[in-house]
Amino acid sequence: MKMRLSPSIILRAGLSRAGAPRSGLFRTAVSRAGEGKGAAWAPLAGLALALAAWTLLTSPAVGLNPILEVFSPARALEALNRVVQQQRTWTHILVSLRRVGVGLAIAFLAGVPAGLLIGRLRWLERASSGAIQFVRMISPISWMPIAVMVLGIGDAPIYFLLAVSAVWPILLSTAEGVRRVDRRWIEMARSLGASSAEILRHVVIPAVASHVVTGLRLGLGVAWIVLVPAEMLGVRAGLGYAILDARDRLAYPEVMAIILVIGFIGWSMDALIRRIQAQRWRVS
Amino acid sequence: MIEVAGAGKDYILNGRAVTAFDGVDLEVRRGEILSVVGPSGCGKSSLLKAIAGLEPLSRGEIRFEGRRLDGPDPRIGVVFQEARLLPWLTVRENAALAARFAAHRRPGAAGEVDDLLRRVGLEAFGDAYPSQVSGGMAQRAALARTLLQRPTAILFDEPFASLDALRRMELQIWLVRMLKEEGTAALFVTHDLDEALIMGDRIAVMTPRPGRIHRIYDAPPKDRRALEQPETLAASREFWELKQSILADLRATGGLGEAMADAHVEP
Ligand SMILES: Nc1ncnc2c1ncn2[C@@H]1O[C@H](COP(=O)(O)OP(=O)(O)OP(=O)(O)O)[C@@H](O)[C@H]1O
Ligand SMILES: [Mg+2]
Repeated sequence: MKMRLSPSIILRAGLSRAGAPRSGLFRTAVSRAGEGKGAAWAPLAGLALALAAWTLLTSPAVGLNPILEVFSPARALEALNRVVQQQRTWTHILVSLRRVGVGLAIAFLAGVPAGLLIGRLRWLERASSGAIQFVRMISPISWMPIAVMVLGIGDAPIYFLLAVSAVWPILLSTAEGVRRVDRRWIEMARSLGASSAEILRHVVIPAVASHVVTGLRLGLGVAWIVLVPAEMLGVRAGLGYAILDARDRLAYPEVMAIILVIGFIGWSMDALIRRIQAQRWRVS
Repeated sequence: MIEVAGAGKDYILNGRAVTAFDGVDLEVRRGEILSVVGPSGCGKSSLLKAIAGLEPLSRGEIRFEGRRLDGPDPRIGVVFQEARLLPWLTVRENAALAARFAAHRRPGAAGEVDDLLRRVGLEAFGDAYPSQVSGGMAQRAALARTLLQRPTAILFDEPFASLDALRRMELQIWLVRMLKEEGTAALFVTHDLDEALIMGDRIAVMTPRPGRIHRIYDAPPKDRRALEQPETLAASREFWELKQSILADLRATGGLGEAMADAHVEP
């Protein structure tokens, strides 16, 4: 297919996507795509720029603070090379991944059914939205003292904190998905003789699924961010602990190296889910 | 085959009852194409949904093959104004959707899909997703989806309204031929007079809301040749005269609003 975007193609694309509103959002997406010609190098340029800024800020030549030199890209990359060869780094990574996995699973098991109900029942949505918006704005880390008091020290309070941080995006996204199920699809399925159970299975659940995955992706993002401070409190493994441990050993370049590892893993997981989503549900 | 008797439909809108159509008597005969024209908002879609069993009537009844209908019947297909393809399924999976439902599960149903796609000219697009095909193709995929249920009658609600004029004429001719070959009856709702005349064996004219059937015309018979050259069909004297009569009807009943304004200007 050619890449020229004539108005009729845009219009048809908009119409053929059953239920896609021909709204401002859609038009924005099209005009942005038009602007983005030859922008393949843009992410690389952005990375190069960030690296340059990092080099400058930590460079003794710039003289911001001589101590910053230990955090420079050169020292960090050197440390990274060392760190990834150490057995204990991989243990930290696996422990962190396991915690995020468990936390996310709990958030999923709680958030999806709640989201299905809230998306379906108007009165429940009205009753709960105030409370949800309120609780959502409290940093999950604030619950730490309570979590430790109730659940003790160890993995349990971390699971709790991760679940609490990831549950909101999953819940809200699922509810949004239910609300967005196009009633015209249901009508179409009924005209084909589908029963209620068949409509649920073949229309509603697949339609909501992409929103659930979006919620999972957002939840994972928050959980990954909350993980590091959560692991700085009272545990002896995990990437958050590894940062403190490196600091205590005065291995500053290693602190930077672990920060890079955290960023890279988070980015990879997000990219992976995006890819699955784009392939499975045709959303970008 | 489909008989509508004394049918009426009220909606409750902001606590007030709005009558979409009322006192509608109509018959779709075996194998015929019945066009229904009428001004915007006169209840054409509501009538179609009632026949499809998607909305209950407020008054009257609908019979299919002599039996009272109260819900969707697997032998009646519906093609909506929008294709309503499910965006997460390919064109082939969309066309095969009916086979996932118990009402249409039969051995070999899935195998018929490729044949149907060929019939609607989409054999090369089975693996494409709805967002990757044009509006006309999406509408043909929707028709394939309906055909898989082997309907004896298909209800169309302005299926070509969102297509450009050229594409629309192409599909109209193609669809008439296909329906005639299959002997499938059709109720074809439109507010495009030319379309109603090209498609229909008979044309029912509705009044403004609450819609009633004002009159039913017989269209000039269409032989194969006429269908192969719709321009000559549209230019024929009979066609033109019939169109003037329908316009006069619409004017007399106050239904010649903006929706019909384009049909009003004529050589
Ligand atoms: N679900 C509904 N709830 C309330 N009112 C409705 C509903 N559906 C249709 N109506 C009303 O019933 C009347 C007939 O609507 P309908 O869609 O059947 O008209 P139509 O002839 O198909 O119009 P158009 O040519 O614009 O498609 C309109 O006044 C409309 O506002
Ligand atoms: Mg309508």
